[in-house]
Amino acid sequence: MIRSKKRLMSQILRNAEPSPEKGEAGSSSNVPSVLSLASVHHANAITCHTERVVIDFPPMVEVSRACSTIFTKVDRDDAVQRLAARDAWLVKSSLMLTVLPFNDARLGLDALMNNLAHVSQSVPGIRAAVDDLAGLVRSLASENVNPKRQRALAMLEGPPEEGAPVAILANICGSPTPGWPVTMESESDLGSTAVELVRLRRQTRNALFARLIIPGNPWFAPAGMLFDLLYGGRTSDIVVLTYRAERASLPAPRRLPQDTHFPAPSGQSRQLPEASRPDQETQLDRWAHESFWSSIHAQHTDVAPTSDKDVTVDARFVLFADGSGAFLPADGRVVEVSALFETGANFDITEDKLPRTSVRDLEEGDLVMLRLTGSGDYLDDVADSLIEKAGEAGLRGRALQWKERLHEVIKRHGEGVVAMKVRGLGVRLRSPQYLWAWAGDAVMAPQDRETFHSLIAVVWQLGSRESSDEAAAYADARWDDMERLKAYHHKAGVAIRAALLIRVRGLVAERRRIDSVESIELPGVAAGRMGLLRVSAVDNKSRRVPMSRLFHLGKVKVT
Amino acid sequence: MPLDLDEVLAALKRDDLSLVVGDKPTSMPPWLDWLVWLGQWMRAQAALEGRRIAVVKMPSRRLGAAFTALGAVFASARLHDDSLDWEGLRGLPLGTKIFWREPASGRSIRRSGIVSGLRQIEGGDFIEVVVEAQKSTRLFAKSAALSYGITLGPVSAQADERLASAERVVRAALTDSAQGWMRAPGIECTIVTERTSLLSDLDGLAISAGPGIEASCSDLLAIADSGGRSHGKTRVAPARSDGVLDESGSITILDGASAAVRVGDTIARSVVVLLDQSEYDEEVEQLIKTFLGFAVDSHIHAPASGVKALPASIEAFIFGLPLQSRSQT
Repeated sequence: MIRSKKRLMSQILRNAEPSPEKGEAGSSSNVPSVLSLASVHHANAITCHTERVVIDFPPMVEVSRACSTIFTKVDRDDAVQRLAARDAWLVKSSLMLTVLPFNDARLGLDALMNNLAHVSQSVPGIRAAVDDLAGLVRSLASENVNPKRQRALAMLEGPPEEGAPVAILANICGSPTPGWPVTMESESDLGSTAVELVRLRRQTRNALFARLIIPGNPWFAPAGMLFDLLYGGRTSDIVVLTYRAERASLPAPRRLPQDTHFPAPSGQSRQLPEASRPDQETQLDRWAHESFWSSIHAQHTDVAPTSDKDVTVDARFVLFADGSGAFLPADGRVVEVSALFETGANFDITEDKLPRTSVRDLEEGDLVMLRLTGSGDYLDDVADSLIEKAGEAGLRGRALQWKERLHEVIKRHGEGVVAMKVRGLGVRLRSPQYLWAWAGDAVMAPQDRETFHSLIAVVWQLGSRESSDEAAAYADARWDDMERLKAYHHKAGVAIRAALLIRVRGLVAERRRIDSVESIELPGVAAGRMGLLRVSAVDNKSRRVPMSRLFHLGKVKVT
Repeated sequence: MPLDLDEVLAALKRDDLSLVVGDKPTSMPPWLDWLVWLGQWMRAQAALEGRRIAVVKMPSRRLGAAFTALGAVFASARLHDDSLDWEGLRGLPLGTKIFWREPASGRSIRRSGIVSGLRQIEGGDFIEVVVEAQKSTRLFAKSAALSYGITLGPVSAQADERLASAERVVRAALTDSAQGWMRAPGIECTIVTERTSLLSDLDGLAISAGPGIEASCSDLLAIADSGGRSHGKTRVAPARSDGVLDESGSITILDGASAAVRVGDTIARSVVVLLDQSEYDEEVEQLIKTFLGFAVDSHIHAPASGVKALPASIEAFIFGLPLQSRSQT
């Protein structure tokens, strides 16, 4: 199948790649070059055509109506009724979005209807609507005619370019999409190997498709993946397949400000024929989407700083497949090794090149390394253990004691005064607030000895301490301590990396399948237990949390 | 003499340039040609008053940063004044370690030495260097210093050959370029991106400036090693670096959203922000709007012949800034 896709991709490439010069038309490789791929992406983005195919199917109007009634009549401040609202949304979305037969057990419709029936016994206002919905679900399952499935299968039979791969967007809602179970496969469920079910952005990076089918309203799909598909030239033919009862609209990319030098070409925004802007129907989708994360955030209301030095940073909440979750720094990077497990034993990583991914780019299915117990400061703990072994206990406290003094001075005089004095000594300071980063744990020290000298001189001056000569001597001593501390951090990093690589190599060689979490005891590294955790979902909104809360794994109740 | 932007831009013989993928020549696609032009224009403007930021949005960023940097390379080579190299060498502090290569027995031998002083002999300036291997003193006149290509970082024989092939392409591609720019000390361009992705995307891609005159794109960029120890014209920095991202260089290219949000940590005179369609999000938009509050139109120096029209797949926006808008650590 892979070979077939490569061949098909080269067919598409020939239509849009830069023209070969005379006598050099042939290429021995079917694998497209980055140049060819990027050129086709640019070409497709210009010519891409979007069409909406609307399916008239009256039962879906009834389903939508019954679910809306349930949604409007429940008290969403009540935990049990809130679940009923979510279940109603899941029933409606599963039926509307799926291309599986309506009687496919993987849709989980029976369990959802049982939940709704149970709640309706104590909420009389929704009883009639739940009964109606139950009748509709039974009827759809018994007749087993899914018009969206029929239309989708027909499109797969006659794609615009013979045999070219077709993509179906299977991640329409951002979180696990109702109607699209993760066990769904193109060959067994759609009878075609030339179809790719697209759930993750990593599937779009090197992708080219003859056509993209979007089987519902993609408004809440992950923006990176969706924009690659809609505006990134991964295809030149997009079909949005919806029931008439479904609202569908395509999010448009933000426009750059007007420019007199480079006026925007007209007609770049892609409007969907017969589409409507998000309305009340979409509000239900929005609520369902946001309630998922708000229920998780409600479990983390105690994210208060532990001290004045505990600065707050932008963080994203990452949910893992074992039911745990953690805030990770939005601007940070984490070790992510899913590619190693996908490629098998033939990987080439060296000690200084552990694969890392930006937290912003994490997505479902990634495999990240985190500490399973204790705080996130794994490196510090391993370094402290090395320091102790070397008989230098107290080095960390001594090296960083100046932070306490800086903290006192900032609190007493304000960061504005301290910043002014520091700048007066020729130090370039991004902003007065940055002084808090130096006083806290966010960064160990200023970038060079000279800046540190100036900073300590100001601390001395404002703290009415001893003479400036003593300040210089103090700064020199602390700087040397910090250099030694950094060396221990470096050694700790090397030790962790080496131990981790040995374990990861072993796991890959064993072809170990990691569905949720794999605990790793690192030989010779006694500071805690590490783990490889499978990402289940990532909140696409950042939240300000204290640094001390980062990387703390905790159990999460997902509703 | 005032800088003639049109002359700098026109110096590149665009029609003679083609790409080579593996061993297969292909024409330069319009979107890459435009990015090369943008790199030239932004680099040339760096020699003029003020600062400026260009924000570019496109379907895929792949190869975008590299080709914008290639444009900067061509403009830098065109603008280069080798008398400044000599001034730079003369101004090196005593004790500075320098490197050069010289022919010996048919091979190119690496030498290093320590600058020990300046001497005047019969009215001419010479740099006095203590050659490390031989413990002897050597005097470099201006012409010798420039032809040996003295660098502040070591250059291996392989790197020397790569610099030579890149230099051949640069000289063939420009109507007029100064000798020795490739080997002149100093970073010209900083690309803030993931080094591994940048290099793997460039793998197997070369530029030809005429029959038999060809160099790989990465050689043309003369990328310095990640530690900054070797000689190079282009520096690649990760977006997660602390403090100012581009202590040296005239132009900085911020490749992607993670780099774009660090725009406040750049000090280069010209900055190009490259984004794909999803990356120009609310955060980046708000950041750009903050800078727009200080926009100075006069710091955009358009060529008299006008700017090169955008290809249909690219959107761009440029605004000027006062020099004081440089961020600080």
